[in-house]
Amino acid sequence: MKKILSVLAVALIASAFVFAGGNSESQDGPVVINHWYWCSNADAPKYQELIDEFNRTHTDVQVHWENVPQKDVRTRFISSYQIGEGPDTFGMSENWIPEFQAMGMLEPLDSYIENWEGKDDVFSNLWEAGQIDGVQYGMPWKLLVTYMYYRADWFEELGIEPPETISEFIDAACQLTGTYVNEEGETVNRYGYGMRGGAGNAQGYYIWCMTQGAEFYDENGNVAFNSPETVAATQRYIDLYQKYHCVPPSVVGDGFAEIVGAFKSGRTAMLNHHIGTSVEISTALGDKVGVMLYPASDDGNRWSEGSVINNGISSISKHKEEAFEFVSWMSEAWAVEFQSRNLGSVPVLQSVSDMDYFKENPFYAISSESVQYVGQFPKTTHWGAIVQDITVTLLQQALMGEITAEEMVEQIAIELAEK
Amino acid sequence: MKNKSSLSTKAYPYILVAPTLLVIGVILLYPMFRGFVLSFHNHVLTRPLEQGFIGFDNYIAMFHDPIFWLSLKKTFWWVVASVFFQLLLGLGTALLLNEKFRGRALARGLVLIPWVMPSVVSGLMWAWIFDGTFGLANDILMKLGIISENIPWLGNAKTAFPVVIMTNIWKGFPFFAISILAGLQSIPKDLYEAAEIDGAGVWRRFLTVTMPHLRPVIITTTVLRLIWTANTTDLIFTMTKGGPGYTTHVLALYTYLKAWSELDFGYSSTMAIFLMLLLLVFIGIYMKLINKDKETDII
Repeated sequence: MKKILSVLAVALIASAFVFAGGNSESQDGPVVINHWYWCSNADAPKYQELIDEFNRTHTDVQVHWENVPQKDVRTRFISSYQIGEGPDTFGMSENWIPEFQAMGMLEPLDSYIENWEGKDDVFSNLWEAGQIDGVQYGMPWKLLVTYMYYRADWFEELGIEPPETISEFIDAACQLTGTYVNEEGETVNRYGYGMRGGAGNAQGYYIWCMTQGAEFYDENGNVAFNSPETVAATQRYIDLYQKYHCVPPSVVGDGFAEIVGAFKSGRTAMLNHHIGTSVEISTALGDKVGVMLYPASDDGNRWSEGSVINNGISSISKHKEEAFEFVSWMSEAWAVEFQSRNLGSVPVLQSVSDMDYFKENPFYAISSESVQYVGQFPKTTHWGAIVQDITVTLLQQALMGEITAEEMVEQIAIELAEK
Repeated sequence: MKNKSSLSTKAYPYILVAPTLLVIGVILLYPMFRGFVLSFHNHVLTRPLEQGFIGFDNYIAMFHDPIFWLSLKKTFWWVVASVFFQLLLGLGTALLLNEKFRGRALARGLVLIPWVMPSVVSGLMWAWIFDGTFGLANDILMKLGIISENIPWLGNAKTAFPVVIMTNIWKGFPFFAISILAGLQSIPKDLYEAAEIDGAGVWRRFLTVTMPHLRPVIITTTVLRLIWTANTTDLIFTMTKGGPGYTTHVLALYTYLKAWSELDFGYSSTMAIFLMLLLLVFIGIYMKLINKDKETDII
């Protein structure tokens, strides 16, 4: 009996060693690159087509894509890297690059890009989004610029012009709030603006404040966010909910799915987002939807968010050359055109941008027009946490009246000081 | 020869438990030890140069952190309300399922559904039911004429916490129901008959026969649920992520967010150690109560 037990124990230990090495790849056959990117269910099939095209046209490298949900993706990158695992390549939001770089997760790409033929086709001002201290860590892949969607049919019905300024925007939102009879004959509530007050509320809030004169840091690098202008803008933002009631009552909990769903189903009349939702929204609403620039401040100042999604290479990838072969292909003409058309992005290449399709399509046209107003978010390691969670909680508290606009702004200033 | 055999006899049980101990050591004790060590360190992932031993600084900061105290208070209500109502509902369900009726086997199976459903799925399902714009709850209440305007259940400081607690009650009560049902089935029938002959009514039989026999099951399940509920983050994370504001911000979630959002593993470990010490108190009470009941067959 004991003999059997000891044989079993040895077999168990031996098999543990065998399986521990089970992940190692064979020497023959193509190199497999593991790639992570987040995609909504609506976009996932098209993204898979993109990956399939790479795999079809390349024999030495094959890409395996894992669709990681957007809200977990940052955490999963970091945790997998900490244990020496994770993908070879990954899409990354601009906000994460400083902290990823600080943790040593990113491979510098300058030496690869130097020999890459496609580099001159990329809009030169887009490289900066993936740079830290002059070193390139990301390949520009997707450009998303915030603009406004609005229900052109309802504006026409009420005889209102699309708002140019924040004051006109508030007036329009108030006028559009009320009830209407939908196509099914039901009387439903309608709200002027689909504000995002839940998860992911930071970008919308900062665009609103920056438009109205807020600043993150002054020219000496000191925090300048806690200014009277920011407090006033914050108060105005909160007023949309508390005073004007021109946003849905569920605003405090509304994240991406809720605001897009509300706009698509005719509950809200205006929505700020980027071209990433244009396919989904135009499919649902057809020609009832119009687009406009994000409103200017009352003295004419415009500000918008433009974020570049970069593809990066993990510093611990064992196949960096092959990884670059993939991420550079993703930033070349065929892939950029395919994803710009099908997944919604402003083309990052001059050659693709010049195509008639992108010049004539209203969503691309408004994105291109908005690019000139794009400002920069801070590039500090703490910014990821400020956007991801801290602002979300503070804005929710402010909307619920638990803290004042001033307290919210002061707290953000404290967080901004922690670079 | 005799000595050798007695030595191997003595060693035998240790050899048998060694693999389990090894597994516990690797997946439980080592991480706990690491967490304990980390709680005395500055360990923010994005600031590798500032990492190092800082003594009790994290603990001092924790006791001065208003969000920590707020989260602790929320944890208290989260645990007490969830477990109390789970127990109550579980007990009622178990008593019902112990009666003979048609379709009882099916009902016993159906009751388990909330328990076997992954927390994330339950969280998402209830979050959509209570969605402020499209939610089923609003739709039903509106059609019944109880409300005239949609209520943002999860976006309102007054309703968000009760809603996540209610979801947790729904999710956890089957555990009580099934455990208590097993306890009920082990009570000898002749005790009830004897009590009935002695003139005890339904209520009296419940108090003097049923409850004393269920005591060990109730203690065990309650303590287990207390610990699990205090440790849980998935349901709240899925439904509200601690919001709106800090409305549903329990300590386990704060620990998670400190680590994975702010990447501050030192401070997060400090709170985790504190929570563990707090739960050890419950485990101590449990051990004491369970030792009292040692003579019963159920444990």
